[in-house]
Amino acid sequence: MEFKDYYKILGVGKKADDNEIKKAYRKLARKYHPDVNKEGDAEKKFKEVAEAYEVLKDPEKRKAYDEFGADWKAGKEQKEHQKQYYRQYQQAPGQGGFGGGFDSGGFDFEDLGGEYSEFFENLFGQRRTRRSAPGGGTSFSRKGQDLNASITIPLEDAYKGATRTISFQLPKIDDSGVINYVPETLKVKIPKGVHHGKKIRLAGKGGPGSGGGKPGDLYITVEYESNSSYHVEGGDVYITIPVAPWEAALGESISVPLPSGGLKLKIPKGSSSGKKLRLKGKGIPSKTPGDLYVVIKIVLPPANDEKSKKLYEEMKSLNFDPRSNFKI
Amino acid sequence: MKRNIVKVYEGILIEEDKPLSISKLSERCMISKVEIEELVYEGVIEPLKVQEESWSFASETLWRVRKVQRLRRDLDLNIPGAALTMQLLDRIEELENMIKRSTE
Repeated sequence: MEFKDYYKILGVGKKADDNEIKKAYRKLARKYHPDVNKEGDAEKKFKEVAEAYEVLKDPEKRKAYDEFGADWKAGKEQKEHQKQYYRQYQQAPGQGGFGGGFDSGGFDFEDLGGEYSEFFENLFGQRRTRRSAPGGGTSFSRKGQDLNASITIPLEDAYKGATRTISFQLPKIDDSGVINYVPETLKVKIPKGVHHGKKIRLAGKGGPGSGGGKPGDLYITVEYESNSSYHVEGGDVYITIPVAPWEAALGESISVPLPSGGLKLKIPKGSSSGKKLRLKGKGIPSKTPGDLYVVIKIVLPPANDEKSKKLYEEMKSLNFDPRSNFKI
Repeated sequence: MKRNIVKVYEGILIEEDKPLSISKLSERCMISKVEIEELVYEGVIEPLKVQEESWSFASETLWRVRKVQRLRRDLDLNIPGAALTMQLLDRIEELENMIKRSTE
């Protein structure tokens, strides 16, 4: 288990006051918030920053961290620290969330589907569900938490539909109310016509409910595999297709490979590079099917042998001026 | 003979899911109805039929509002600030799509 230097994570000194800590957190949160920053490691960074802030903004947690966290060591000694921490805060009035458990107060990891670091849990105890916190008294029925998962599919699945396997972390609440995340795998039907970024809801496949409440739902975000030869926007599919100069100039039929099966396409005579051909209804086959745009990209044969050089030389006699309209 | 039966789950595409009433949206996103109205006036979300007395929303609105809530909570934004952020994020997505279209 790795020691977390929360001061270093926020980039503040050990003596930083609340205001400095808040400012540092906000600056980093704006930078790494997963809703703002789409880079792969942003979410991980943000969780670290949020965890550091969770501890340092709270005078009691900060004190405990300063006392036991800095010289934290694995094993027996660390267990002693944890016990000491509990003893100190367990009886404190108004601290029901402590005492061996941790109530996810301000920051809510549920949305991010994650948990605190092992280090955090060792210092402050495992996260407990607020709903089942001991001493809570009245129990009431509550729906379980909604979970988020995502799946990446090839474009073909959107055209034809498929069955795919997804894995995610399912929270389980044990008898003492501690939340444990266990890996769960499900086979899920990918409906034909699903758009990139859309969500599928699986009713009752989310976190367990409490007090007899229904389980939450599982939301699966569908994402298309990224691919350099096509681009999808809503239901419309843009495919760039390489074409030889004579195919574009003379207007020949070419075959376009599509996830739904190939099709023959007649290129209009004299098409230039970048020209878009629209094929109505050949995009993603949703309720309102999208269109397919075939973008023509003229590719020149290389002039690296005698034959091709001779042909290019011959073309000079066409007296073609590509810069006839070009003026500066 | 042992056979493993694997159940295949079929979900509902949320755009085809039932619309959400304002009460349901408020409950599921932990946001007050007054704040939902503010989000509508700021243009962040749109009810399905504006002229109707009791608003209902497309089920996808849930995700937009949850995003607003995360931004407000994690970045300490007020509603106009979150609305501006949402507008700029939408704009970035639009521009990124334009770039992807033209660089192919």
